[in-house]
Amino acid sequence: MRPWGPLAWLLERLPIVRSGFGLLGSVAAEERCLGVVIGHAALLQRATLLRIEDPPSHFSDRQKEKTDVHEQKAREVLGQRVVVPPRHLLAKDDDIASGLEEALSGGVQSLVLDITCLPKRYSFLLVKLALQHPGLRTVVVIYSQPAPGSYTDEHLAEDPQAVAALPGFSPAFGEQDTLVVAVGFEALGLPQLLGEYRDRQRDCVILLPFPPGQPYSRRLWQSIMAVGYPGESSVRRVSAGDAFGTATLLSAEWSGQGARSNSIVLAPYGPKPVSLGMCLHAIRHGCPVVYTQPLVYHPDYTTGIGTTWGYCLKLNSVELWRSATESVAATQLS
Amino acid sequence: MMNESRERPMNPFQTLYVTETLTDPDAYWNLFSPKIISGETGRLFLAGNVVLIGSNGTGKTMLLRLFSCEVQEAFLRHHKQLPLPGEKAVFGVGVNLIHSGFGSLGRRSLVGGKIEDEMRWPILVADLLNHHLCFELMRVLEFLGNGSLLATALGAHVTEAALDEFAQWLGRQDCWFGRMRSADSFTGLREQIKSRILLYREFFNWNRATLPTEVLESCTEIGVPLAVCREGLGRHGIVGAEQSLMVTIDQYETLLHTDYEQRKSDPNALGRAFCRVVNSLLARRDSSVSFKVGVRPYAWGRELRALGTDARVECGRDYQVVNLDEILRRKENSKSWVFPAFVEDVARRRIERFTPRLSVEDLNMKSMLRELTPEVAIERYCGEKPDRLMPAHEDWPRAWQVGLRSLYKKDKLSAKFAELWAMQTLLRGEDLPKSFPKRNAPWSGEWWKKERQDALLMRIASECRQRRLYGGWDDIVTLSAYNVLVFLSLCREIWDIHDRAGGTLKWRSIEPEVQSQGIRIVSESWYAKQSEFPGGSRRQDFVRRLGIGIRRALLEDRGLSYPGHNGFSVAMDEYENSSAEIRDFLEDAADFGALMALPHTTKERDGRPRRKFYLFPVLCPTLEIPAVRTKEPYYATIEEVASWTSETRPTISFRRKALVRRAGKRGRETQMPLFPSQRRKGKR
Repeated sequence: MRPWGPLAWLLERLPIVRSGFGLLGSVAAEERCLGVVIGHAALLQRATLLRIEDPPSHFSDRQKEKTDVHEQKAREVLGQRVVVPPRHLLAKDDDIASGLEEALSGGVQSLVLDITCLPKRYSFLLVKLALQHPGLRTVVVIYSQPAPGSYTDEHLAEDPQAVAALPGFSPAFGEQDTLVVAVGFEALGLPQLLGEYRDRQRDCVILLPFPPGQPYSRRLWQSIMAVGYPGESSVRRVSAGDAFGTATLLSAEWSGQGARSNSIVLAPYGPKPVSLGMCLHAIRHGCPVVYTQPLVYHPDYTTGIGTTWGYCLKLNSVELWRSATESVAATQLS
Repeated sequence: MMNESRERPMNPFQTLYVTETLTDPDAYWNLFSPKIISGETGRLFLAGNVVLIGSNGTGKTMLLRLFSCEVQEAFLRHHKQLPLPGEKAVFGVGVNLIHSGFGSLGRRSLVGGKIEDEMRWPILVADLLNHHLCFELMRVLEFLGNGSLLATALGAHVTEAALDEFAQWLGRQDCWFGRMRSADSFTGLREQIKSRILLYREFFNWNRATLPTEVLESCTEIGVPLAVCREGLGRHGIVGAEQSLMVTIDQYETLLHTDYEQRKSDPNALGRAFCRVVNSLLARRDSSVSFKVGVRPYAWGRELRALGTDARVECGRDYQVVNLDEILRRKENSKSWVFPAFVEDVARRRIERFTPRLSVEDLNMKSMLRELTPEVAIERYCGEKPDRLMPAHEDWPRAWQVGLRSLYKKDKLSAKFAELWAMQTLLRGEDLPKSFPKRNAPWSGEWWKKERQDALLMRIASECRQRRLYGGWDDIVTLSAYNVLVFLSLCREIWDIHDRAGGTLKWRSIEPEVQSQGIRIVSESWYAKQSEFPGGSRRQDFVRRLGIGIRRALLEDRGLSYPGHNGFSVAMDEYENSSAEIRDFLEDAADFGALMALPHTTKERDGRPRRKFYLFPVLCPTLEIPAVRTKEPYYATIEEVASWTSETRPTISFRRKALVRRAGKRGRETQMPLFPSQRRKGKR
């Protein structure tokens, strides 16, 4: 069972609607960070919205101004039920993990983890820790799209850091033979990453989100061309919204019997749901995940709030996410 | 006539990185130029510690990979010569710090307190590195024991029994603090080492809540287990003592990045402490184990202390430096410049491999690139209007008007130099000679012309509303600076365009228009690439503003009195006393191929040592400025540079200061007088 869909639809089918849930997310410059706060305020027991500060940049003032507005809005809607702890973009693992502990204080047993505006170095570790947490009975990850066609035409982010593993997903040895890269609108940092991994005769496979959503197919292909099209045999199309589908594809091809290889390194540059699928696969199979964390995000990254999607990973202590990461023969999928 | 399809070769420059061909020794042998392993670079493969410094694209990783047993084995299996000094095999093991997860350490609390954590983390990193290197050594030994030709080349005797004995002996050594005593076989010992690495990984990756106390209390001393391993290999007759164990540690800068963004100038930053772990390996000075550390220029020298002491590792005593940037960069004496011969060999090898049907002599890249002389360039800029650059100065003495026009009809380039010289004279407030010089013209001096030629051509192209044309081997080498990646990118684009333009039957001659188009594509992509690296957007913006500033300065300097102002220079004392932020910004810019940083021998009377900076040559076509460096860059103060590099991102301008400085001697004239001779009279 892979329960995912529009959040409203999903919640109708989950028992947590009756008891309410805790929210762990972020307040950010993008309006969509408030998708669940505005849409489902009545169900929130308690909300922990991390306010993540980027290093100073030419965008700092605008970022702060917009984030202030969204924080104010969250406080207006949720009143005493919201806390907004500050964090730094490059926070240590312990500081990231403590966000989860704060969200779970007060006996929260059902958690909605909103990865919409969480940087990957936060969201990957938080998903992992939430799934490992013995006190959490239900875990739903959510992602809010922006208003259609609202991504800025400029670079979404700037100043990628050097290639490094995401917190909680570092490699033990340096000999992974396949690099699996999910691409998105922004190839920033990806050429640098591919450069670091070129000194091995390793495969490179691209996960291509489909449909890309108009008017972005051209932009997506620009990202691919920026890093070099590896040929159709090295491209896998994944549903842009189906996190479970991505995890299933990865598990079918790169784990268990008939797998091409058990030794892969993942690079999540694609849409958040695809990243979530990669995260689930990495948790289950212990794969390293590498990334070039940008230090600056565009204050007008997106505008508006679109559909909020929910992915129920754990329900009443039943780990639903595991079925998507089972090792199945690749032929079963074809 | 040859069949066209058979004659058309694939682009020999398609694969930019030789390292991509490491598993194909034939390809590697054909693409790798051993000319890079000569002189200083050869030191890398001799016993002794070496820090190999090289910026992106200079071939650092390619050289370090030659230590790999797999690469050497492939050469031997294909009966190829090892491209190493004396063709001697080396006993190498290595670790790539990024790929082995060293970039993500120090992020979890170990025991709770920040101070204690920061003391313990480097010890843990040292222990982890020790285990990684020992594990890798055991992997190499196993490889050598599987019928390897490399084992024979090294004089190694690797048998299962010998390895087991070695492992039993090794497990009993004190360096492990008794932890490995139970290892009764080579496999058993290797598994114990692997378990330790995996245990660390479980903790780093939050798969376990804490590190067991016994781990924290049994950390090995940096470098000791490896040294004991080397001793044991000799004792058990596996690898003779004459073979120095060569340990490569690539991507040293990864350690510095640990918390560099947050704690740049903090001497106790964790990343610096991790660097000290590797520095301690260099400080060991153990002749049986040599360390070869690969590092980007910006990351070496920021932390030179060894672990647990304030003593610094010293160049010459603890290690030698092989700086690829310096080796490949053009020096004052161009005869000693190795880069042109190196890339010529690289190009020849590639063409030879990918165009086997054609004569190699016919396909020499150097001779294929048709040269564009300045005279021809001017004709092309003029196009169908040959008189469009005719000097027209109605206020100048008639003899000069006539003389210039007459000279222009015969030799456009000389006429433009003459016009420039006259302009310079007038701007100095002096009169032009009464008659137009016909012999021994003052503008015909070789150096005077050489220093201004590139800037003049830039201005002419601008005047004709055309983009600058390039042509010839020298242009390609100049634009590549010392970076073989840029050189190969230029060759790849030029080859592609030539091919698409139907140049199949004219391989011997690639026209300047084709070369210029390829050059512009690579230049634009190198500019765009700036934003792909850490700190890139600010650096890219700086490059853009500096390019605009330089272009404006050169266009507004009508007499081209300061042709060297396509770069700037700062006094070393000011530079070294400036904030770390400015130095880091400029050094990073040099490392990521945005700037070139060079020592500057000043002509100023004070003789203060200076450091000069130029835009990286391949960026110049996009920014429409000359790539050739001529003497006397703009003398900037550190305050000016600080403002240029600041986050406020101001317009960069240095024309005014330069003119005022010179004009000060002559009454601060920044405008050319309308009637120079009258004005001079008036002054008197």
